[in-house]
Amino acid sequence: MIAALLAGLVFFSLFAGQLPPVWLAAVCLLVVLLFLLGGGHHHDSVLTMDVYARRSRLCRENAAFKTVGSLCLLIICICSSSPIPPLCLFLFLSVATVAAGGVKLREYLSLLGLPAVFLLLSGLTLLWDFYQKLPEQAVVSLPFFGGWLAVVPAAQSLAMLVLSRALGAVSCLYFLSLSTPLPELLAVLRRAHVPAIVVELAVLIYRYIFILLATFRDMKDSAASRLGYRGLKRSLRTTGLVYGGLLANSFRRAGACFDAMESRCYTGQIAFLTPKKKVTGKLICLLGFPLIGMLAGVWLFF
Amino acid sequence: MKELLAFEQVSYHYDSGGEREALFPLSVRLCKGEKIAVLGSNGAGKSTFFLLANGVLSPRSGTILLNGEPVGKKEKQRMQLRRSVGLVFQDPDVQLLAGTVEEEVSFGPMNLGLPEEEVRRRVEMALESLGLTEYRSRGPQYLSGGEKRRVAIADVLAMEPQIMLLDEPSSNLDPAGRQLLEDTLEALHQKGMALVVATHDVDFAWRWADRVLVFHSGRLERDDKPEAVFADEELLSRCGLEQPLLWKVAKALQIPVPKSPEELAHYQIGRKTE
Repeated sequence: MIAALLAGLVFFSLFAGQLPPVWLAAVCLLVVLLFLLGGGHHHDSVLTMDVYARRSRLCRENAAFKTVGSLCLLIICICSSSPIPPLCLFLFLSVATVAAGGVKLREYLSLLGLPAVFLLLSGLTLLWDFYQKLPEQAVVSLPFFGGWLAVVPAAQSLAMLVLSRALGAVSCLYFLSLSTPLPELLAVLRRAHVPAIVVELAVLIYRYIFILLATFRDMKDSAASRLGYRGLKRSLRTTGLVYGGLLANSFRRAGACFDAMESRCYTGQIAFLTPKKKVTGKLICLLGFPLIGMLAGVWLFF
Repeated sequence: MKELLAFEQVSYHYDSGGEREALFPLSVRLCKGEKIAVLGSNGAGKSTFFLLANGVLSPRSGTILLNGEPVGKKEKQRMQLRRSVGLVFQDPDVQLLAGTVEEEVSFGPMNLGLPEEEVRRRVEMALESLGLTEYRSRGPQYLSGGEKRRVAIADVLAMEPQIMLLDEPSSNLDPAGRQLLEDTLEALHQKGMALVVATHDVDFAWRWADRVLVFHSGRLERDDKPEAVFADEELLSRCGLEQPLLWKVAKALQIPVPKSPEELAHYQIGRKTE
């Protein structure tokens, strides 16, 4: 709800003075409606992303190629000096993620809601500025404590550029993370000679996040079943106890896990066998086409 | 029978003190192709016994012999022990650490420093033998309890040990999962692997094992054939165990103890008639 209002406000300030009033109102209403419809349901998003990535049809493609491709796109997208190429990239990759990857549109939009709030807030600060005297070119203005809060066309174009770059970048990262499960991504990092300690820590964190969450859920449920969350004071106390228990539990489990690793001849380095995946024509098209397009676009608008 | 692993007066105690889970001087030998059930109440020392046999803990006194050679305290020699004696932990969540089943099973063989081809072959073999080939790219967090257990066994199987130790493998399994586990154990036995299973399920021990070790308060109380162990009611009650159901049935009907329920059909059981 708040995100929807925020989005309406940002779009209003973004296009005020550039579109006829009727069109402006239509755009704002459309955006608010989209947000109200799309951002309805929320789940523990970090984990849902993992599920979508494993379910994606693009999961079968070569992970290294996807990673390098998305990173190149990301860099070109940020270098763009016009908002048009990043917006095209956003559209293309969103369609690719949804149509080629098989992520449901609704799920994709709901995931986009996550960074959208941050984007909109930063857009708002870019658009509105405080002036002592009302600037002549101001398209929207409000009196504010003896001065003026106003939007000027220069700020509009800057905000447009920043927002579109950010949107393009988000779509690159979403394309990657909604088609590549984290274990494969970590294997790519290992092959790229990222320090072993970083990758190993990431492997363990990824695995134990799920165990920690499951344990937390069990402890919380069992506390709730004994009426541990009745009243504010008791809730606070129970929450403290649950977190304390979780810490003790983690320590105990860490010892047991280390024993289990040692029993399988662990000598200080975690290594796995990684499945080999070929680079297919589909993937080359999917990443090569926007790469060429983006290069051309950035060149053209430079 | 060829002797694989022998404990000679091996003892252990934890630094945190307490008698619980400590192990008093213990001598036992395990041979090729044996099916051994380890019985005992909680805290009797079964898990400590397993961790010692696997080389995660090293004995405070006494010696462990592997294929007749004493295993020293050096890391390299303990590594040899871990290579030959596989241990499947009671809680699969403690054991599983990779993001996919395939990676998980490859962890052990990779640690052995084998060439990639060999690792791949072993992973395939282990996945195949436990019927996990379809699960290879799944994450352990999306598996059921029984599936996790099978992955944990595949983990150890891929290291191709001579002896496999399983710590309460049937806990938390549903009846179908239990049956599948028993089939798996039978298949491993057919391959000639020595199996040692810690369990609380006396019915399973009677059905499956050809040798039973009974632990109580850190001591090995009895090492004998299942027939002898379950006939000793004094021992069972002292160690917090009970007779298998078939033994109770046989006692009530006054017939020799059958190995399986089907065998009951051989006996003429006098029915009560009105």
